[in-house]
Amino acid sequence: MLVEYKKLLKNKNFYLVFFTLVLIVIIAAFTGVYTHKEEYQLIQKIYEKDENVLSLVSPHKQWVGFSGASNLASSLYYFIFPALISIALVDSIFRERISGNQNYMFLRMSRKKYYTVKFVTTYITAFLFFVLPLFLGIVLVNLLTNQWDYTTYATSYKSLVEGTIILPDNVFAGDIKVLFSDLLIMSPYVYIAFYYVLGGLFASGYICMGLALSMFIKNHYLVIFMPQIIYIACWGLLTVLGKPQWDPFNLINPRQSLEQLSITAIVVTLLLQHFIAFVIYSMGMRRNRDVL
Amino acid sequence: MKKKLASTLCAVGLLVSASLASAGTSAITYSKELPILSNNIYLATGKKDDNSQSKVENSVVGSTYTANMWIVDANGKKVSATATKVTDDDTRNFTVDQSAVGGNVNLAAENDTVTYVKVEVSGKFYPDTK
Repeated sequence: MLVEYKKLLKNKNFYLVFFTLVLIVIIAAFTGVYTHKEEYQLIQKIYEKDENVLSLVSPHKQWVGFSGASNLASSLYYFIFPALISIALVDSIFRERISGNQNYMFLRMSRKKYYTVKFVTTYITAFLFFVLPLFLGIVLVNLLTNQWDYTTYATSYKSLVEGTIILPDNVFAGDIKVLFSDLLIMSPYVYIAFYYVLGGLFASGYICMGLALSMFIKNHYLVIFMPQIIYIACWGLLTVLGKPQWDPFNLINPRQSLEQLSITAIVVTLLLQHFIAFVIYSMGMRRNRDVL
Repeated sequence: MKKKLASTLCAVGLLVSASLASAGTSAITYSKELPILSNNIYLATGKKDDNSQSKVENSVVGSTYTANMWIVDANGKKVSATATKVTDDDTRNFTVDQSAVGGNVNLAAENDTVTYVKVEVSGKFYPDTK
């Protein structure tokens, strides 16, 4: 596995992709902070500094993913992450097969070990690629707004859920999350960490699916864009079928933008995605058995 | 002649007061489609006569989608907080900035998620509730 990481660190695309993801997060964070400041000033003016209302206008709502469709960079991150992460990772088997390096690797280690190491390395790295820039986004938003403690929000949110908070209107009723509301009551950090990890697992699943398909596909560009194609195809198909609440794009969204989201949908989709990736990968391993 | 004039004046007075009273409190119905890719749209426009809250009685947001709604003044300046995840049979009250009183206000909306289909939305908008 160490050899795999050494190879990755020598790959220019590794840095290019990480830099691009971080750049998108930086833009999203700055846009979010600007939006938050505008919103906070407006709310202060409208509600004449009502403490209960102001406690619900929290900067954490501008963390990437939370900030919603109005923050273009945030939406972009969640829209194109499979394509970006793929550029650095998904063609590692493909390139070694084309260059002939795979034959050399098979002399140094067993075929099973080679494929296992490739799969595990790709899985872990894709997860980190997705998650690390997002955590950086949290730090950036907190730094720019100078807010690290979200206890006040968590307390107000709990009162909102319980219906005990006194507010002048019900504009904030939509803040209540249908799923994992207890995590948000605990802390916005716990809630977002859960969603980022969930997103990371889906990201790893897509990239490993691409890695598996790279053993069947002969076109390099198609190999690289396959995870994005699958991701977009799911988005398109489930929208047409009227089941967007089963689409991973919506399932990993911390805003929970749709009705009828369920834990069942999250678990089933995640397991199904990983199962498909694993089956295709196993088939690819068997198919490439006669490479020597 | 005096009787006729008095009754005419009464009728006109009643009409004027009735129209004044119902200017902002009467419902403005809307039935539109939320644009693709979460772009926003004005659902309804009405005159805001006093500093009472505005109200939205939303009947339908298509499929399982939800909408974000807020109020802007005639110049497009936001004058209320954003109500997120407005859904079917959902009523939201908005406290509106004083600067909007006396002018037209628009109810703006967007889809809360990015999608490539237009989503139907319908309901009633009350610029004033008093």
